[in-house]
Amino acid sequence: MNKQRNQKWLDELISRAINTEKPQFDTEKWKQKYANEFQTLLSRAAKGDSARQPSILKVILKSPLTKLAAAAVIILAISFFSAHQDSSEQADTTTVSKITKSPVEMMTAISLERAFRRGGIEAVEKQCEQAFKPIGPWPRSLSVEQILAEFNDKGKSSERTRL
Amino acid sequence: MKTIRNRKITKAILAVLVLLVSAPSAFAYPPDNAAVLYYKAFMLYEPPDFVPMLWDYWKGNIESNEKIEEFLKKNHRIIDIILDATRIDHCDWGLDYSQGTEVLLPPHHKARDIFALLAAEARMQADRGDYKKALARCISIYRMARHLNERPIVCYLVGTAINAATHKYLTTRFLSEMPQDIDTLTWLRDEFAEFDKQPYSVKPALRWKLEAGIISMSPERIGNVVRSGLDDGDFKEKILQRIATADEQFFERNRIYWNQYMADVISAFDLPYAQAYSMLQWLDEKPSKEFGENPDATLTVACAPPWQRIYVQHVRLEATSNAIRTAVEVYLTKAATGRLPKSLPSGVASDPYTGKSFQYAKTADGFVLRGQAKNIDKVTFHQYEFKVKK
Repeated sequence: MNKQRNQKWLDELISRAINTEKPQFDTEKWKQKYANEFQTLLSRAAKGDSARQPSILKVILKSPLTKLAAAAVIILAISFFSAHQDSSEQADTTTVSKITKSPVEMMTAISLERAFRRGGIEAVEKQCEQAFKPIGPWPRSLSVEQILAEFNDKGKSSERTRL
Repeated sequence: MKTIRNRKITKAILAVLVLLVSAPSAFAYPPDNAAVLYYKAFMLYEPPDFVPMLWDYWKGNIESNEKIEEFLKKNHRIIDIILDATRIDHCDWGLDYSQGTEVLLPPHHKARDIFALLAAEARMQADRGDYKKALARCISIYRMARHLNERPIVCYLVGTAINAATHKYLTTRFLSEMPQDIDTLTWLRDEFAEFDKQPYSVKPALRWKLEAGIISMSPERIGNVVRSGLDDGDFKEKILQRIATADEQFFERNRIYWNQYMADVISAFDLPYAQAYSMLQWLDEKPSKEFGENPDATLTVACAPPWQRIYVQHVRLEATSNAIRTAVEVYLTKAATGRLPKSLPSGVASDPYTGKSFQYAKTADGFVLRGQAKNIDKVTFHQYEFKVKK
Protein backbone atom coordinates (compact mmCIF):
# COMPACT_ATOMS: atom_id res chain seq x y z
CA MET A 1 0.00 0.00 0.00
CA ASN A 2 2.76 2.39 1.00
CA LYS A 3 4.70 1.44 -2.07
CA GLN A 4 1.72 2.27 -4.35
CA ARG A 5 1.20 5.63 -2.63
CA ASN A 6 4.86 6.46 -3.03
CA GLN A 7 4.71 5.48 -6.69
CA LYS A 8 1.71 7.81 -7.27
CA TRP A 9 3.44 10.63 -5.46
CA LEU A 10 6.54 10.12 -7.55
CA ASP A 11 4.49 10.16 -10.80
CA GLU A 12 2.82 13.44 -9.81
CA LEU A 13 6.17 14.95 -8.93
CA ILE A 14 7.59 14.00 -12.30
CA SER A 15 4.49 15.35 -14.10
CA ARG A 16 4.90 18.68 -12.39
CA ALA A 17 8.57 18.85 -13.22
CA ILE A 18 8.10 18.01 -16.92
CA ASN A 19 4.93 18.37 -18.99
CA THR A 20 3.87 14.79 -19.66
CA GLU A 21 0.49 15.56 -21.32
CA LYS A 22 0.02 14.26 -24.87
CA PRO A 23 0.51 17.26 -27.30
CA GLN A 24 -2.57 18.19 -29.48
CA PHE A 25 -1.98 19.27 -33.11
CA ASP A 26 -4.21 22.19 -34.23
CA THR A 27 -4.22 22.21 -38.12
CA GLU A 28 -6.06 25.49 -38.54
CA LYS A 29 -3.73 27.40 -36.26
CA TRP A 30 -0.74 25.92 -38.07
CA LYS A 31 -2.17 26.99 -41.50
CA GLN A 32 -2.59 30.55 -40.29
CA LYS A 33 0.85 30.73 -38.70
CA TYR A 34 2.71 29.24 -41.72
CA ALA A 35 0.49 30.47 -44.63
CA ASN A 36 3.35 30.80 -47.18
CA GLU A 37 4.79 27.34 -46.50
CA PHE A 38 1.25 25.87 -46.77
CA GLN A 39 0.72 27.50 -50.21
CA THR A 40 4.04 26.16 -51.50
CA LEU A 41 3.06 22.63 -50.46
CA LEU A 42 -0.30 22.96 -52.23
CA SER A 43 1.33 24.19 -55.47
CA ARG A 44 3.80 21.22 -55.46
CA ALA A 45 0.96 18.75 -55.17
CA ALA A 46 -0.84 20.40 -58.14
CA LYS A 47 2.20 20.06 -60.50
CA GLY A 48 1.26 16.48 -61.26
CA ASP A 49 2.83 13.02 -60.82
CA SER A 50 5.37 13.17 -63.69
CA ALA A 51 8.03 15.02 -61.65
CA ARG A 52 7.90 12.49 -58.84
CA GLN A 53 7.52 9.35 -61.01
CA PRO A 54 10.17 6.76 -59.93
CA SER A 55 12.79 5.71 -62.47
CA ILE A 56 12.87 2.18 -63.98
CA LEU A 57 15.99 1.36 -61.94
CA LYS A 58 14.17 2.30 -58.72
CA VAL A 59 11.24 0.11 -59.69
CA ILE A 60 13.55 -2.83 -60.38
CA LEU A 61 15.44 -2.35 -57.10
CA LYS A 62 12.23 -2.09 -55.11
CA SER A 63 10.78 -5.23 -56.64
CA PRO A 64 10.46 -8.19 -54.21
CA LEU A 65 11.72 -10.51 -56.95
CA THR A 66 14.97 -8.52 -57.23
CA LYS A 67 15.43 -8.70 -53.45
CA LEU A 68 14.89 -12.45 -53.53
CA ALA A 69 17.42 -12.88 -56.32
CA ALA A 70 20.00 -10.78 -54.45
CA ALA A 71 19.53 -12.88 -51.31
CA ALA A 72 20.02 -16.07 -53.35
CA VAL A 73 23.27 -14.73 -54.84
CA ILE A 74 24.62 -13.84 -51.37
CA ILE A 75 23.75 -17.30 -49.98
CA LEU A 76 25.41 -18.98 -52.99
CA ALA A 77 28.54 -16.86 -52.57
CA ILE A 78 28.83 -17.74 -48.87
CA SER A 79 28.38 -21.48 -49.52
CA PHE A 80 30.93 -21.35 -52.36
CA PHE A 81 33.45 -19.57 -50.07
CA SER A 82 33.07 -21.99 -47.19
CA ALA A 83 33.24 -25.02 -49.48
CA HIS A 84 36.52 -23.81 -50.99
CA GLN A 85 38.05 -22.64 -47.71
CA ASP A 86 41.53 -24.00 -46.87
CA SER A 87 41.16 -27.40 -45.20
CA SER A 88 43.77 -26.51 -42.54
CA GLU A 89 41.68 -23.51 -41.44
CA GLN A 90 38.64 -25.72 -41.01
CA ALA A 91 40.53 -28.46 -39.20
CA ASP A 92 41.36 -26.16 -36.31
CA THR A 93 37.76 -25.83 -35.23
CA THR A 94 37.01 -29.54 -35.37
CA THR A 95 40.17 -30.92 -33.74
CA VAL A 96 38.90 -30.28 -30.22
CA SER A 97 35.77 -32.33 -30.66
CA LYS A 98 37.67 -35.00 -32.58
CA ILE A 99 40.31 -35.66 -29.91
CA THR A 100 38.16 -35.52 -26.79
CA LYS A 101 34.80 -34.24 -25.78
CA SER A 102 35.46 -31.29 -23.54
CA PRO A 103 38.29 -28.95 -22.43
CA VAL A 104 38.14 -30.53 -18.97
CA GLU A 105 38.80 -33.99 -20.42
CA MET A 106 41.64 -32.58 -22.50
CA MET A 107 43.36 -31.17 -19.41
CA THR A 108 43.54 -34.39 -17.39
CA ALA A 109 46.96 -35.89 -16.68
CA ILE A 110 46.14 -39.12 -18.54
CA SER A 111 44.89 -37.29 -21.63
CA LEU A 112 48.00 -35.08 -21.75
CA GLU A 113 50.22 -38.14 -21.30
CA ARG A 114 48.53 -39.61 -24.34
CA ALA A 115 49.36 -36.39 -26.25
CA PHE A 116 52.99 -36.72 -25.13
CA ARG A 117 53.11 -40.32 -26.35
CA ARG A 118 51.80 -39.17 -29.71
CA GLY A 119 53.85 -36.02 -30.32
CA GLY A 120 56.13 -35.11 -27.41
CA ILE A 121 55.97 -31.92 -25.38
CA GLU A 122 54.79 -29.87 -28.38
CA ALA A 123 51.67 -32.02 -28.61
CA VAL A 124 51.04 -31.46 -24.88
CA GLU A 125 51.25 -27.68 -25.31
CA LYS A 126 49.05 -27.77 -28.39
CA GLN A 127 46.39 -29.76 -26.56
CA CYS A 128 46.49 -27.29 -23.62
CA GLU A 129 46.05 -24.40 -26.05
CA GLN A 130 43.12 -26.11 -27.74
CA ALA A 131 41.51 -26.84 -24.38
CA PHE A 132 41.71 -23.21 -23.31
CA LYS A 133 40.67 -21.72 -26.66
CA PRO A 134 36.91 -22.08 -26.18
CA ILE A 135 36.84 -21.11 -22.49
CA GLY A 136 39.12 -18.15 -22.13
CA PRO A 137 40.84 -17.15 -19.92
CA TRP A 138 39.76 -13.63 -21.10
CA PRO A 139 38.16 -12.18 -24.20
CA ARG A 140 40.61 -10.03 -26.14
CA SER A 141 38.90 -6.77 -25.14
CA LEU A 142 36.18 -6.18 -22.62
CA SER A 143 35.33 -2.72 -21.30
CA VAL A 144 33.71 -1.95 -17.97
CA GLU A 145 30.72 -0.54 -19.90
CA GLN A 146 30.31 -3.87 -21.71
CA ILE A 147 30.45 -5.80 -18.44
CA LEU A 148 27.83 -3.49 -16.88
CA ALA A 149 25.64 -3.70 -19.95
CA GLU A 150 25.84 -7.50 -19.94
CA PHE A 151 25.07 -7.52 -16.25
CA ASN A 152 22.07 -5.14 -16.45
CA ASP A 153 20.42 -6.00 -19.72
CA LYS A 154 21.85 -8.16 -22.48
CA GLY A 155 19.60 -6.73 -25.18
CA LYS A 156 20.72 -3.15 -24.73
CA SER A 157 24.44 -3.89 -24.45
CA SER A 158 25.38 -2.25 -27.74
CA GLU A 159 23.57 1.02 -26.89
CA ARG A 160 25.21 1.22 -23.50
CA THR A 161 28.63 0.49 -24.91
CA ARG A 162 28.28 3.55 -27.12
CA LEU A 163 27.67 5.72 -24.05
CA MET B 1 33.45 -5.65 40.22
CA LYS B 2 37.06 -4.61 39.71
CA THR B 3 38.00 -8.13 38.57
CA ILE B 4 35.23 -8.14 35.93
CA ARG B 5 36.43 -4.79 34.58
CA ASN B 6 40.03 -6.07 34.49
CA ARG B 7 38.93 -9.16 32.54
CA LYS B 8 37.18 -6.99 29.98
CA ILE B 9 40.27 -4.82 29.56
CA THR B 10 42.45 -7.93 29.20
CA LYS B 11 40.09 -9.34 26.54
CA ALA B 12 40.12 -6.03 24.65
CA ILE B 13 43.92 -5.89 24.75
CA LEU B 14 44.13 -9.49 23.51
CA ALA B 15 41.70 -8.77 20.67
CA VAL B 16 43.74 -5.73 19.59
CA LEU B 17 46.94 -7.82 19.76
CA VAL B 18 45.41 -10.57 17.63
CA LEU B 19 44.31 -8.00 15.07
CA LEU B 20 47.74 -6.36 15.02
CA VAL B 21 49.48 -9.69 14.55
CA SER B 22 47.11 -11.09 11.92
CA ALA B 23 46.57 -7.92 9.87
CA PRO B 24 50.05 -7.75 8.30
CA SER B 25 49.96 -11.43 7.31
CA ALA B 26 46.45 -11.08 5.84
CA PHE B 27 47.53 -8.23 3.56
CA ALA B 28 51.11 -9.41 2.99
CA TYR B 29 52.62 -9.38 -0.46
CA PRO B 30 53.97 -11.57 -1.89
CA PRO B 31 51.70 -14.40 -0.74
CA ASP B 32 53.20 -17.57 0.71
CA ASN B 33 52.07 -19.65 -2.28
CA ALA B 34 53.91 -18.95 -5.55
CA ALA B 35 51.15 -20.57 -7.63
CA VAL B 36 48.82 -17.65 -6.87
CA LEU B 37 51.21 -15.30 -8.63
CA TYR B 38 51.80 -17.69 -11.52
CA TYR B 39 48.06 -18.04 -12.13
CA LYS B 40 47.77 -14.25 -12.00
CA ALA B 41 50.55 -13.81 -14.56
CA PHE B 42 49.12 -16.56 -16.80
CA MET B 43 45.80 -14.72 -16.78
CA LEU B 44 47.18 -11.25 -17.46
CA TYR B 45 49.89 -12.00 -20.01
CA GLU B 46 49.00 -11.75 -23.63
CA PRO B 47 51.73 -12.99 -26.01
CA PRO B 48 52.59 -10.54 -28.81
CA ASP B 49 51.50 -10.93 -32.40
CA PHE B 50 55.20 -11.39 -33.27
CA VAL B 51 55.91 -14.52 -31.19
CA PRO B 52 58.38 -16.04 -33.73
CA MET B 53 60.44 -12.82 -33.63
CA LEU B 54 60.48 -12.89 -29.81
CA TRP B 55 61.64 -16.52 -29.88
CA ASP B 56 64.34 -15.69 -32.42
CA TYR B 57 65.49 -12.89 -30.16
CA TRP B 58 65.87 -14.86 -26.94
CA LYS B 59 67.54 -17.69 -28.84
CA GLY B 60 70.12 -15.17 -30.01
CA ASN B 61 69.27 -15.49 -33.71
CA ILE B 62 68.43 -11.79 -34.18
CA GLU B 63 69.37 -8.46 -32.64
CA SER B 64 67.00 -6.48 -30.47
CA ASN B 65 64.69 -3.93 -32.07
CA GLU B 66 62.21 -1.24 -31.03
CA LYS B 67 59.24 -3.61 -31.15
CA ILE B 68 60.85 -6.07 -28.72
CA GLU B 69 62.09 -3.33 -26.38
CA GLU B 70 58.66 -1.72 -26.29
CA PHE B 71 57.02 -5.10 -25.65
CA LEU B 72 59.32 -5.89 -22.72
CA LYS B 73 58.73 -2.43 -21.26
CA LYS B 74 54.97 -2.90 -21.57
CA ASN B 75 55.15 -6.23 -19.74
CA HIS B 76 57.48 -5.28 -16.89
CA ARG B 77 54.66 -5.78 -14.35
CA ILE B 78 54.18 -9.39 -15.50
CA ILE B 79 57.94 -9.98 -15.29
CA ASP B 80 57.96 -8.58 -11.74
CA ILE B 81 55.06 -10.84 -10.71
CA ILE B 82 56.92 -13.90 -12.01
CA LEU B 83 60.18 -12.88 -10.38
CA ASP B 84 58.32 -12.46 -7.07
CA ALA B 85 56.80 -15.91 -7.53
CA THR B 86 60.17 -17.54 -8.15
CA ARG B 87 61.49 -16.16 -4.84
CA ILE B 88 58.77 -17.99 -2.87
CA ASP B 89 59.70 -21.46 -1.63
CA HIS B 90 56.23 -22.94 -1.39
CA CYS B 91 54.23 -23.59 -4.56
CA ASP B 92 50.90 -25.40 -4.49
CA TRP B 93 48.92 -25.45 -7.74
CA GLY B 94 45.83 -26.72 -5.94
CA LEU B 95 45.59 -30.01 -7.83
CA ASP B 96 43.06 -32.58 -6.67
CA TYR B 97 45.21 -35.68 -6.45
CA SER B 98 42.32 -37.81 -5.23
CA GLN B 99 41.23 -37.92 -8.91
CA GLY B 100 44.17 -40.18 -9.76
CA THR B 101 45.36 -39.90 -13.35
CA GLU B 102 42.28 -37.82 -14.13
CA VAL B 103 43.63 -34.90 -12.10
CA LEU B 104 43.19 -31.60 -13.96
CA LEU B 105 46.48 -29.90 -14.69
CA PRO B 106 47.29 -26.17 -14.66
CA PRO B 107 47.50 -24.29 -18.00
CA HIS B 108 51.14 -25.12 -18.56
CA HIS B 109 51.10 -23.87 -22.14
CA LYS B 110 50.94 -20.40 -20.56
CA ALA B 111 54.14 -21.25 -18.66
CA ARG B 112 55.87 -21.57 -22.00
CA ASP B 113 54.68 -18.10 -23.04
CA ILE B 114 55.83 -16.65 -19.74
CA PHE B 115 59.16 -18.44 -20.11
CA ALA B 116 59.67 -16.77 -23.52
CA LEU B 117 58.99 -13.38 -21.92
CA LEU B 118 61.53 -13.96 -19.13
CA ALA B 119 64.05 -15.40 -21.58
CA ALA B 120 63.74 -12.32 -23.81
CA GLU B 121 64.24 -10.08 -20.78
CA ALA B 122 67.34 -12.10 -19.80
CA ARG B 123 68.70 -11.70 -23.31
CA MET B 124 68.02 -7.94 -23.13
CA GLN B 125 70.03 -7.69 -19.88
CA ALA B 126 72.92 -9.55 -21.54
CA ASP B 127 72.77 -7.21 -24.55
CA ARG B 128 73.12 -4.30 -22.14
CA GLY B 129 76.19 -5.95 -20.64
CA ASP B 130 74.59 -6.76 -17.28
CA TYR B 131 75.45 -10.46 -17.25
CA LYS B 132 74.84 -10.90 -13.56
CA LYS B 133 71.24 -9.78 -14.02
CA ALA B 134 70.93 -11.97 -17.12
CA LEU B 135 72.18 -15.00 -15.18
CA ALA B 136 69.89 -14.10 -12.26
CA ARG B 137 66.97 -14.35 -14.71
CA CYS B 138 68.22 -17.84 -15.67
CA ILE B 139 68.20 -18.84 -12.00
CA SER B 140 64.64 -17.47 -11.74
CA ILE B 141 63.61 -19.58 -14.73
CA TYR B 142 65.15 -22.68 -13.11
CA ARG B 143 63.15 -21.94 -9.96
CA MET B 144 59.98 -21.47 -12.02
CA ALA B 145 60.61 -24.85 -13.70
CA ARG B 146 61.02 -26.43 -10.26
CA HIS B 147 57.69 -24.91 -9.22
CA LEU B 148 56.06 -26.26 -12.37
CA ASN B 149 57.32 -29.74 -11.53
CA GLU B 150 54.23 -30.88 -9.69
CA ARG B 151 53.70 -34.60 -9.25
CA PRO B 152 52.10 -35.50 -12.63
CA ILE B 153 54.60 -36.64 -15.30
CA VAL B 154 53.39 -33.99 -17.76
CA CYS B 155 54.29 -31.22 -15.28
CA TYR B 156 57.76 -32.73 -14.98
CA LEU B 157 58.13 -32.77 -18.77
CA VAL B 158 57.03 -29.13 -19.13
CA GLY B 159 59.58 -28.07 -16.50
CA THR B 160 62.24 -30.19 -18.21
CA ALA B 161 61.63 -28.50 -21.56
CA ILE B 162 61.97 -25.05 -19.96
CA ASN B 163 65.16 -26.03 -18.13
CA ALA B 164 66.70 -27.53 -21.26
CA ALA B 165 65.99 -24.40 -23.32
CA THR B 166 67.46 -22.18 -20.59
CA HIS B 167 70.63 -24.29 -20.39
CA LYS B 168 71.15 -24.32 -24.12
CA TYR B 169 70.18 -20.85 -25.27
CA LEU B 170 70.71 -18.66 -22.23
CA THR B 171 73.09 -19.85 -19.50
CA THR B 172 75.66 -21.46 -21.83
CA ARG B 173 75.66 -18.45 -24.14
CA PHE B 174 75.87 -15.86 -21.38
CA LEU B 175 78.84 -17.72 -19.88
CA SER B 176 80.45 -17.76 -23.33
CA GLU B 177 79.85 -14.06 -24.02
CA MET B 178 80.66 -12.50 -20.64
CA PRO B 179 84.04 -11.44 -19.35
CA GLN B 180 85.36 -13.81 -16.64
CA ASP B 181 84.29 -11.80 -13.63
CA ILE B 182 85.22 -13.67 -10.47
CA ASP B 183 82.43 -12.10 -8.36
CA THR B 184 79.66 -12.96 -10.81
CA LEU B 185 80.98 -16.50 -11.32
CA THR B 186 81.31 -17.12 -7.56
CA TRP B 187 77.79 -15.79 -7.07
CA LEU B 188 76.53 -18.14 -9.82
CA ARG B 189 78.29 -21.13 -8.27
CA ASP B 190 76.67 -20.34 -4.91
CA GLU B 191 73.26 -19.96 -6.56
CA PHE B 192 73.62 -23.39 -8.18
CA ALA B 193 74.73 -24.89 -4.86
CA GLU B 194 71.69 -23.38 -3.14
CA PHE B 195 69.39 -24.59 -5.92
CA ASP B 196 70.83 -28.11 -5.76
CA LYS B 197 69.80 -28.47 -2.12
CA GLN B 198 66.36 -29.06 -3.58
CA PRO B 199 67.24 -30.29 -7.08
CA TYR B 200 64.92 -30.64 -10.04
CA SER B 201 63.93 -34.28 -9.89
CA VAL B 202 61.81 -36.90 -11.64
CA LYS B 203 61.31 -38.88 -8.42
CA PRO B 204 58.08 -37.15 -7.19
CA ALA B 205 56.51 -37.76 -10.61
CA LEU B 206 57.40 -41.46 -10.51
CA ARG B 207 56.08 -41.96 -6.99
CA TRP B 208 52.85 -40.13 -7.77
CA LYS B 209 52.29 -42.13 -10.95
CA LEU B 210 52.31 -45.29 -8.85
CA GLU B 211 49.66 -43.85 -6.46
CA ALA B 212 47.57 -42.30 -9.25
CA GLY B 213 47.45 -45.60 -11.14
CA ILE B 214 46.11 -47.39 -8.07
CA ILE B 215 43.42 -44.72 -7.58
CA SER B 216 42.42 -44.96 -11.24
CA MET B 217 42.22 -48.76 -11.27
CA SER B 218 38.74 -48.85 -9.79
CA PRO B 219 35.48 -49.84 -11.51
CA GLU B 220 34.18 -46.23 -11.26
CA ARG B 221 37.19 -44.52 -12.81
CA ILE B 222 38.91 -46.92 -15.18
CA GLY B 223 36.47 -46.49 -18.08
CA ASN B 224 37.23 -42.77 -18.39
CA VAL B 225 40.94 -43.36 -17.93
CA VAL B 226 41.05 -45.85 -20.82
CA ARG B 227 38.94 -43.61 -23.05
CA SER B 228 41.19 -40.60 -22.39
CA GLY B 229 44.52 -42.41 -22.22
CA LEU B 230 44.49 -44.59 -25.31
CA ASP B 231 44.07 -43.89 -29.01
CA ASP B 232 40.96 -45.27 -30.65
CA GLY B 233 41.35 -48.75 -32.14
CA ASP B 234 40.95 -52.48 -31.60
CA PHE B 235 43.31 -52.53 -28.64
CA LYS B 236 41.29 -49.92 -26.76
CA GLU B 237 38.07 -51.76 -27.59
CA LYS B 238 39.49 -55.03 -26.22
CA ILE B 239 40.47 -53.34 -22.95
CA LEU B 240 37.03 -51.76 -22.62
CA GLN B 241 35.41 -55.15 -23.24
CA ARG B 242 37.52 -56.75 -20.49
CA ILE B 243 36.58 -53.93 -18.10
CA ALA B 244 32.88 -54.33 -18.90
CA THR B 245 32.92 -57.93 -17.70
CA ALA B 246 35.43 -57.47 -14.87
CA ASP B 247 34.85 -58.33 -11.21
CA GLU B 248 36.53 -56.91 -8.10
CA GLN B 249 39.24 -59.63 -8.23
CA PHE B 250 40.23 -58.48 -11.72
CA PHE B 251 40.85 -54.97 -10.39
CA GLU B 252 42.72 -56.25 -7.35
CA ARG B 253 45.05 -58.41 -9.47
CA ASN B 254 45.62 -55.52 -11.88
CA ARG B 255 46.56 -53.21 -8.99
CA ILE B 256 49.10 -55.79 -7.74
CA TYR B 257 50.58 -56.05 -11.25
CA TRP B 258 50.79 -52.23 -11.52
CA ASN B 259 52.41 -51.94 -8.10
CA GLN B 260 55.17 -54.37 -9.05
CA TYR B 261 55.55 -52.83 -12.50
CA MET B 262 55.99 -49.32 -11.07
CA ALA B 263 58.44 -50.56 -8.43
CA ASP B 264 60.56 -51.89 -11.32
CA VAL B 265 60.26 -48.59 -13.20
CA ILE B 266 61.34 -46.54 -10.18
CA SER B 267 64.34 -48.81 -9.57
CA ALA B 268 65.29 -48.68 -13.25
CA PHE B 269 65.66 -44.88 -13.10
CA ASP B 270 68.42 -45.36 -10.49
CA LEU B 271 70.45 -47.81 -12.61
CA PRO B 272 73.50 -46.75 -14.64
CA TYR B 273 72.49 -45.30 -17.99
CA ALA B 274 73.01 -48.30 -20.27
CA GLN B 275 71.14 -50.68 -17.96
CA ALA B 276 68.36 -48.22 -17.24
CA TYR B 277 67.87 -47.58 -20.95
CA SER B 278 67.49 -51.30 -21.74
CA MET B 279 65.42 -52.04 -18.64
CA LEU B 280 62.94 -49.26 -19.43
CA GLN B 281 62.63 -50.37 -23.03
CA TRP B 282 61.77 -53.84 -21.77
CA LEU B 283 59.29 -52.41 -19.23
CA ASP B 284 57.63 -50.28 -21.95
CA GLU B 285 56.96 -53.40 -24.01
CA LYS B 286 56.18 -55.85 -21.20
CA PRO B 287 52.46 -55.05 -20.48
CA SER B 288 51.48 -55.01 -24.17
CA LYS B 289 53.28 -58.31 -24.78
CA GLU B 290 51.64 -59.97 -21.78
CA PHE B 291 48.22 -58.46 -22.46
CA GLY B 292 46.99 -61.40 -24.60
CA GLU B 293 47.83 -64.12 -22.08
CA ASN B 294 47.70 -62.26 -18.77
CA PRO B 295 44.53 -60.25 -17.92
CA ASP B 296 46.37 -58.76 -14.91
CA ALA B 297 48.40 -56.60 -17.31
CA THR B 298 45.28 -55.04 -18.86
CA LEU B 299 45.06 -51.82 -16.85
CA THR B 300 48.82 -51.25 -16.82
CA VAL B 301 48.68 -51.03 -20.61
CA ALA B 302 46.17 -48.18 -20.24
CA CYS B 303 48.07 -46.26 -17.54
CA ALA B 304 51.77 -46.56 -18.41
CA PRO B 305 53.43 -43.65 -20.24
CA PRO B 306 56.50 -44.19 -22.49
CA TRP B 307 59.09 -44.54 -19.72
CA GLN B 308 62.17 -44.85 -21.87
CA ARG B 309 61.39 -41.59 -23.63
CA ILE B 310 60.90 -39.85 -20.29
CA TYR B 311 64.15 -41.32 -19.02
CA VAL B 312 66.07 -40.03 -22.05
CA GLN B 313 64.78 -36.48 -21.35
CA HIS B 314 65.71 -36.88 -17.69
CA VAL B 315 69.31 -37.96 -18.35
CA ARG B 316 69.84 -35.40 -21.10
CA LEU B 317 68.77 -32.62 -18.74
CA GLU B 318 70.98 -33.92 -15.94
CA ALA B 319 73.97 -34.10 -18.28
CA THR B 320 73.50 -30.50 -19.46
CA SER B 321 73.00 -29.24 -15.88
CA ASN B 322 76.19 -30.98 -14.78
CA ALA B 323 78.12 -29.69 -17.79
CA ILE B 324 77.12 -26.10 -16.95
CA ARG B 325 78.17 -26.50 -13.31
CA THR B 326 81.49 -27.98 -14.47
CA ALA B 327 81.96 -25.11 -16.93
CA VAL B 328 81.48 -22.55 -14.13
CA GLU B 329 84.44 -24.14 -12.32
CA VAL B 330 86.54 -23.91 -15.47
CA TYR B 331 85.60 -20.24 -15.95
CA LEU B 332 86.42 -19.56 -12.29
CA THR B 333 89.92 -20.98 -12.79
CA LYS B 334 90.30 -18.78 -15.85
CA ALA B 335 89.12 -15.76 -13.87
CA ALA B 336 91.54 -16.50 -11.02
CA THR B 337 94.63 -17.46 -13.04
CA GLY B 338 94.06 -15.81 -16.39
CA ARG B 339 94.33 -19.21 -18.12
CA LEU B 340 92.10 -22.15 -18.81
CA PRO B 341 93.00 -25.16 -16.63
CA LYS B 342 94.92 -28.06 -18.17
CA SER B 343 92.42 -30.53 -16.73
CA LEU B 344 89.12 -30.34 -14.92
CA PRO B 345 89.25 -29.20 -11.29
CA SER B 346 88.56 -31.99 -8.79
CA GLY B 347 85.09 -32.55 -7.35
CA VAL B 348 83.19 -31.36 -10.42
CA ALA B 349 79.81 -32.86 -11.38
CA SER B 350 79.93 -36.08 -13.41
CA ASP B 351 78.45 -37.08 -16.72
CA PRO B 352 75.33 -39.15 -15.92
CA TYR B 353 75.77 -41.19 -19.11
CA THR B 354 79.03 -42.65 -17.82
CA GLY B 355 79.07 -41.81 -14.12
CA LYS B 356 82.55 -40.32 -14.67
CA SER B 357 83.84 -36.79 -15.22
CA PHE B 358 83.32 -35.19 -18.63
CA GLN B 359 86.23 -35.32 -21.04
CA TYR B 360 87.69 -31.83 -21.17
CA ALA B 361 89.52 -30.28 -24.10
CA LYS B 362 90.58 -26.75 -25.04
CA THR B 363 89.45 -25.41 -28.40
CA ALA B 364 90.50 -22.42 -30.52
CA ASP B 365 87.97 -20.12 -28.87
CA GLY B 366 87.20 -21.84 -25.56
CA PHE B 367 86.74 -25.38 -24.32
CA VAL B 368 84.50 -28.39 -24.75
CA LEU B 369 83.09 -31.01 -22.38
CA ARG B 370 82.46 -34.41 -23.96
CA GLY B 371 80.68 -37.55 -22.95
CA GLN B 372 79.53 -40.75 -24.55
CA ALA B 373 76.38 -42.74 -24.07
CA LYS B 374 76.66 -46.49 -24.62
CA ASN B 375 73.46 -48.39 -25.25
CA ILE B 376 73.14 -52.03 -26.19
CA ASP B 377 72.62 -51.19 -29.84
CA LYS B 378 74.65 -47.97 -30.32
CA VAL B 379 77.13 -45.49 -28.90
CA THR B 380 76.26 -41.80 -29.13
CA PHE B 381 78.54 -38.87 -28.35
CA HIS B 382 77.46 -35.60 -26.84
CA GLN B 383 79.42 -32.46 -26.26
CA TYR B 384 78.92 -29.04 -24.75
CA GLU B 385 80.84 -26.16 -26.26
CA PHE B 386 81.78 -23.09 -24.25
CA LYS B 387 83.53 -20.03 -25.61
CA VAL B 388 85.84 -17.79 -23.66
CA LYS B 389 85.64 -14.05 -24.16
CA LYS B 390 89.12 -12.71 -24.84
